[in-house]
Amino acid sequence: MKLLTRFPWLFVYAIAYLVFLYLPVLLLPLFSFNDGTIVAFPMKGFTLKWYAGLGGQETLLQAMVNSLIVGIVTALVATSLGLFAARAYVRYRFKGKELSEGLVMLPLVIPGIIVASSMLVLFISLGLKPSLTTVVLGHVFLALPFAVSIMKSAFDDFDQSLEEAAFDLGESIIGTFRRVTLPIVAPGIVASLLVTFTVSFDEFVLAFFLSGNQPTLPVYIWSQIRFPAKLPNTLALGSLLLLASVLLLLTAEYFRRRSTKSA
Amino acid sequence: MPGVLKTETGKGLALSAPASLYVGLLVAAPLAILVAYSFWTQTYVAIDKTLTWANYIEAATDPLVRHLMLRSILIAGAVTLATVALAYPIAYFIAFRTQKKTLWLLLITIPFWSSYLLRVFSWKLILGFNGVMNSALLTTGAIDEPLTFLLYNEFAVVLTLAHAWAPFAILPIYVSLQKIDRAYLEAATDLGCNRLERFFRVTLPLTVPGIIAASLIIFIPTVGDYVTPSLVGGSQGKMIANLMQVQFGAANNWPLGATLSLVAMASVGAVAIGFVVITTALGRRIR
Amino acid sequence: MSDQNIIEISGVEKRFGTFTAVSDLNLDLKKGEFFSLLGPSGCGKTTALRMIAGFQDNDKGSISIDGQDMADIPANKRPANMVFQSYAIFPHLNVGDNVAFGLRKLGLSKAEIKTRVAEALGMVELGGLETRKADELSGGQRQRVALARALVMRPKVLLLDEPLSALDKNLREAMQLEMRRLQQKLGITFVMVTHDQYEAMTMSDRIGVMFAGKLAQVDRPDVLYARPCNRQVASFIGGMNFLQARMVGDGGGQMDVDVQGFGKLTIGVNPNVEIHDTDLLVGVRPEQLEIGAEKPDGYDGYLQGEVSDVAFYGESVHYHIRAAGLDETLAVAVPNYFHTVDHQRGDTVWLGVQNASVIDLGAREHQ
Repeated sequence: MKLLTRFPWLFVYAIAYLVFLYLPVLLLPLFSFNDGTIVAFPMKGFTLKWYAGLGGQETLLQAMVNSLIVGIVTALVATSLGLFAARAYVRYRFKGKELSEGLVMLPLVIPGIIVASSMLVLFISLGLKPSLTTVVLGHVFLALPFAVSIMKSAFDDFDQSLEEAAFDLGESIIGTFRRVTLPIVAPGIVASLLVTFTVSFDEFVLAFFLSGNQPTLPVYIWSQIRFPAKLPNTLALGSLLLLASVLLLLTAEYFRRRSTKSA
Repeated sequence: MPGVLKTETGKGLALSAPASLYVGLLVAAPLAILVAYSFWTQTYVAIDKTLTWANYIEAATDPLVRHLMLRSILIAGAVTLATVALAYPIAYFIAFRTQKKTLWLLLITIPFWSSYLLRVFSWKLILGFNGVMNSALLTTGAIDEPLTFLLYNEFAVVLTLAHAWAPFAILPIYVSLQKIDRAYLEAATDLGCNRLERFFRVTLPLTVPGIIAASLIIFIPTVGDYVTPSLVGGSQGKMIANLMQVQFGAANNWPLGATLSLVAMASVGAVAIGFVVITTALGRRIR
Repeated sequence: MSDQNIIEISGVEKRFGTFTAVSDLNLDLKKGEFFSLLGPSGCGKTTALRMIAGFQDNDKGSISIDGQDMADIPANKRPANMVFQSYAIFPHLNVGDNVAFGLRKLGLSKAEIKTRVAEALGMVELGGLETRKADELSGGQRQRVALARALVMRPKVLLLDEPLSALDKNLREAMQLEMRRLQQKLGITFVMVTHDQYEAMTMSDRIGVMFAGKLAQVDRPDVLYARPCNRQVASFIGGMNFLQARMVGDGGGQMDVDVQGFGKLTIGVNPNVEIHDTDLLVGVRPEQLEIGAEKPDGYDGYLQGEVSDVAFYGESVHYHIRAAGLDETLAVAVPNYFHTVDHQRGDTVWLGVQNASVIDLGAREHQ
């Protein structure tokens, strides 16, 4: 009975599940090199023309610039807010801490359409026209839970006595933060910046409602999906986007690991 | 003021205030305005600010609203059930059956970091009449004519969303499995349980909190999902979000849109609370 | 306690990779005895217990419980139940359901389960606490629930993995007595793993001392204390002064030895010792040495030295004596009869020892 090794059903299932997870993600790049306009088997042949066709499209380029601006500003704002909040949650015990921690996680569980529509109504009522600014305001809201949780784990592994040692050695509060705290949690900050950037860069529904006549990349793609003729170009663009997201996230993961190991 | 900032509460509040105020304001203010709008009416571009229940009456009596709301909740329920059921064995595998936990967790989260819009779009290409799945099956001779039940229905919506939410189900369940003290499992064996009994009497009840967390984090946003029903749902698979988008867009009826938002939130909340209560009670009944 | 064997372990070996956790373990346990496996951490005692329970397979040898070979019997079918070191009280169940956990498998009626749970809880003095939640229990209560949960199964053998290590000192001592009483009342064989020599000595009928995967000696507590088989066992159980000695003559269970510092003595041959030689190691327990400012009367060997340290323990005072010709100081423990500390550092004192106090530990080379 002991010699009978059981068939690894779970392992087989896990592999099948991975195929299910990766199928749609790998499909876009696969067909982006297909020399044909229909996404179906058999494939026609290898080509790079769909990628070449992406160059020189004015609206695409503008959408890309819009997305970059929104992503960078979102990442900076969300990470700063997250940095301070996470520091408070890890370091201090205070009244309303649980409430505050719960509140910043709220954006994760509100249906996107409700966030989008209610913000649209709010901004219009405040006289704020849909623009990149309103998209940033919305994206910071969505990215904040990610920033806070990444920064919280970075501070979790941070040994309190390091700061006390610097303080004891005569450094000021601000100096201690700059010379001891920041360098040690820096990998966490980088990870947070990359993750929040990606959240913003990939986000569609909020941008769809709030961007007005300044589309971000996902909104641009949405407008292209309707045209079958542009499908191969959209595939190429999507593949590039996938690649960018995965690279950014792997880098973020690398930094996140470093932040937990440095402690 | 400097005195206040010296206390722990003062420092903690000062540092966390920007983030929590930001989220708090962006939740409370739109909500307040939504509530206000839901009692107003709109004719073309002009907003009539006379308070009225008209929108709620319309939302309650319009069969389309009721139909879409019910379908959204049912689809979200099906998505939650499918995602959690598919994810549980994976979480179990990572927690108990492999040494390479970090690698597996990474493998499972990578696809999730690609754009949601693009993944849904990719499923549309896979499931379509002339799509990848049908063409592959036709080429290999597995079928003679394209399968039509793949795209533009509830099945496509559930499949696509079960894919989209996978890590959100796997991670909380994995965490709750990982927290189980191995001595509990040995104690159950020692007291006479075989593997299956041990799973149902000890492992499963101890992961109920993880299952609840996973279910809520999937169910709530799914009820209001817009992209998936739009791309792969067809007319059978439309959900409440599609109707809401129409009110804020083409129909230009913001008061009705606001009302739908509030009704949707209330329904989701009610269903979610009911779910938590029932699941917790069920978990307690296992002895 | 009868002479009938309940557990028979023969030639059992367990390896983890290249590390041998338990080697050539042979042990017979009697029905109704309280047996302890004692040893430092990592000596293989827990592995041995887990092999009896069935949580670990043995690579070689055989284990039988009540005459039945356990090789093909999984842990959930063995007539042995376990009290875990962490107690493993199921956090999702209340006290009553924890205790009833194993009973629900046996197809008993609800009323019967209720009666047996109440009976088991009464046995560990937790009567009426059935509905108490797991997270509302104190450490001592958790220990009692774990005990009740295992005993309610009416096992032939109860296995206890460091059952008292999570409790504070006073509670631990109270529980030692209580568990001993319970074991005697029920007459079930208890097998306990512990690293605490006092716990093992106060509770057990017999103790097996393990080092590095091997069973060094199995004996009654008083025999282990009086006739340890070697230096390792002697120093693990109680305090001991080790002295070099030379055998100068033997016969009739006695031998004449020349003990470092004390001179000629006639001591009993220790039957537990495997190898004897002219170069011997002997031991003297600190409390069996007499100390005095004047040379005491009526001892078989004497030694004069200087007090190098005084340690006050409350119930006793320990003096450390440095003497010419000895490599290490000798420890002497004196009961605190009159709240006095009679000797100070630097005082010159006499030590006296009787023949019967000197323990033969065998050949010096084999330590």
